[in-house]
Amino acid sequence: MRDEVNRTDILERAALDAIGLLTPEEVFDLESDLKQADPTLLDEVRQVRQGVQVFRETLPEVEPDPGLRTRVLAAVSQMIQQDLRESVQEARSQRMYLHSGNGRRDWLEPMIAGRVSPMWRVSALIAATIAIAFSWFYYQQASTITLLTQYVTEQETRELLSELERHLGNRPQNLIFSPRSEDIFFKSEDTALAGIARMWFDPEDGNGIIVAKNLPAKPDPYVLCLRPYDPTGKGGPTSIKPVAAMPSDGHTIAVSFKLSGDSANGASWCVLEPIDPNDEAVAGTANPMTEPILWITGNDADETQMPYRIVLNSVL
Amino acid sequence: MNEDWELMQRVSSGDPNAVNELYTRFGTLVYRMAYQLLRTKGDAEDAVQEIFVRLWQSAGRFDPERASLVTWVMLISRRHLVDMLRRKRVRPQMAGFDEAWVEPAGADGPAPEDGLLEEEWKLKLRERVSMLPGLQREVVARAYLGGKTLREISQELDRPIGTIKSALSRALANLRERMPSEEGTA
Repeated sequence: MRDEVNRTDILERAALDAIGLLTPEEVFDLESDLKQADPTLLDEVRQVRQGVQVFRETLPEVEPDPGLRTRVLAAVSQMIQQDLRESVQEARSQRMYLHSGNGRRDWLEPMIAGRVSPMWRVSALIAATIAIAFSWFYYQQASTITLLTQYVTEQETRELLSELERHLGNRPQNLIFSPRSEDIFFKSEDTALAGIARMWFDPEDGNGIIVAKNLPAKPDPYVLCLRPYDPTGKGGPTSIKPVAAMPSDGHTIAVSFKLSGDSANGASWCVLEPIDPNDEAVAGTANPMTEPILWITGNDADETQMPYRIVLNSVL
Repeated sequence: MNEDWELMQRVSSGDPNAVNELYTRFGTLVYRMAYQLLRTKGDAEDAVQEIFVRLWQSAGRFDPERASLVTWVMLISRRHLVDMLRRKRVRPQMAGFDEAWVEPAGADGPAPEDGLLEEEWKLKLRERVSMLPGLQREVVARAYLGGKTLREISQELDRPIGTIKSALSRALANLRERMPSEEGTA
C-alpha cells in the first residue's frame, strides 16, 4: 500500500515537473527518487513525461532568426571556456593543497592567494612573530634552568632565576638577546682550587650572575671582585672592585652582580680590599689585595681581548 | 536511443559539433516553446541561449530510460522558462479554458504580424486539450499556459491540491495516449 502511494506520488510529481510546476529543489528530490525507482515505475514516468509532447502541436509556428544559431553556439562556447578555466584553477589549487601536505590550514590558502585584507595579514605576521619570540624566550629560559641545575640545587635555581630577572629585567628582549652565558675557568693561587664556573653576563649593561660549585667551605663569604685586565699578574691595588659577597656552603656559590664604571677600559673601577662587609676600615688602598681564588677570564686563551676580569676573592 | 545518449555525452564534453547538432534538432522547438510563453522575439531568443547553456550543463545527466531526448529537451526548456517567468514575476494570464485566451503577459507583446499565428496555435491547443475531461482540461490549461501554481489552481477551482495533482497526472497520461509517436524533432 505504501509502495503504491509512493508510486502515485512520484507519477504526480513527474506530471507537475513536465508542466514546469516543480521548484528546483522539488525537481532534485524527484530525480533522487527516480534513481531508486524500479523499471516499471520508470516506464510510467516516461509515459507521463511524453504527455507534454502533445503541446508540440500547439506551439506557434514561428521560425527563429538564422543568426540565433551563431549566438547560441557562442553562448555555449563561452560557458564551456569559462568552465574550463574554473576547472583548471580548481585543479591548480587542489595541487597546491596536496603539495602543501596536511599542515596547511584553510585560512592559509586565501592568505597566500591575497584574498585576505592587508590588516589581517599584518596581524597574522605580528602574531606569528610574537609566537616565535616567546618560543625562543621559553627555550632560552629552559636552557638557563638546565645550565643552572648543573651547578646549584633546585632551590638555588629558583633564587638565581629571581636574581637573574631582578638584574637583567624580565622583559623578553633582556632575557632573550642580552645575556651571554659561558663557561669560565677559575683558579686560585692560595689554594689548589680551580674549576669551571658558569657566568651569565650582559656586557651591554654590566649585569650578570655567576655560579660556581665545589668551592671549599669557608666561614666567611667569598667576594666577587673585579679588576681591569693586567697581563702581568695580579694588577695594582687600585684595580680591584668587589662586586658581591658570596656565601658558600662548601658546594656551590652563586651571586648576581652589576659592573659599574667604564667597562671599556676598566680604569674607573674602585678598589676595596680586603673585603669585610662589617669593617669598612679594612677597605682601602692600603690593604694588600686579597689573593684571588677565582679569576673569571672567560675560556678564551687570548686574555688581551678581555677588557676586565672578574676575580673571586676569599675574605681573609 | 543510444545515438541520443552519445550525442548528449559529446555535448556534455563541450564538443561544438555536438552542440551544433543539438541546435539543429531542437533549436526551433525550443524557440517556439520560448515564444509561446514569453511572447516576444527578443525574450524568446535570449531564453533559447540560456536553455542551450542549461542543456549543455545537464547533458551528462540525460538518461534515455527516463525520457526520450525530445521529451527531455522539452522538460529542461519548460523548467527554465517557468523559472524565468517566476523570476520576472510575470506569468501568462489565462482564464478558464472555455473563456477567451487572454493577452500575453510579456511587456511589449507579440508583433502584429504574429497575431494570426497566435490564434492558430491557440486553436490547436484548444483542440488538443478539449479532448480531456473537464477538470483535467482546466488544470492543464491553467498550469501549462497559465503558469499557475498548484495552490492557485486549487483555490481557483476550489478543489484539494491532491485532486489537482491527480487530475494533471491523468491528463498527461490521456494526452500521451493520443500521441502518434514519442520520438522526433521539432
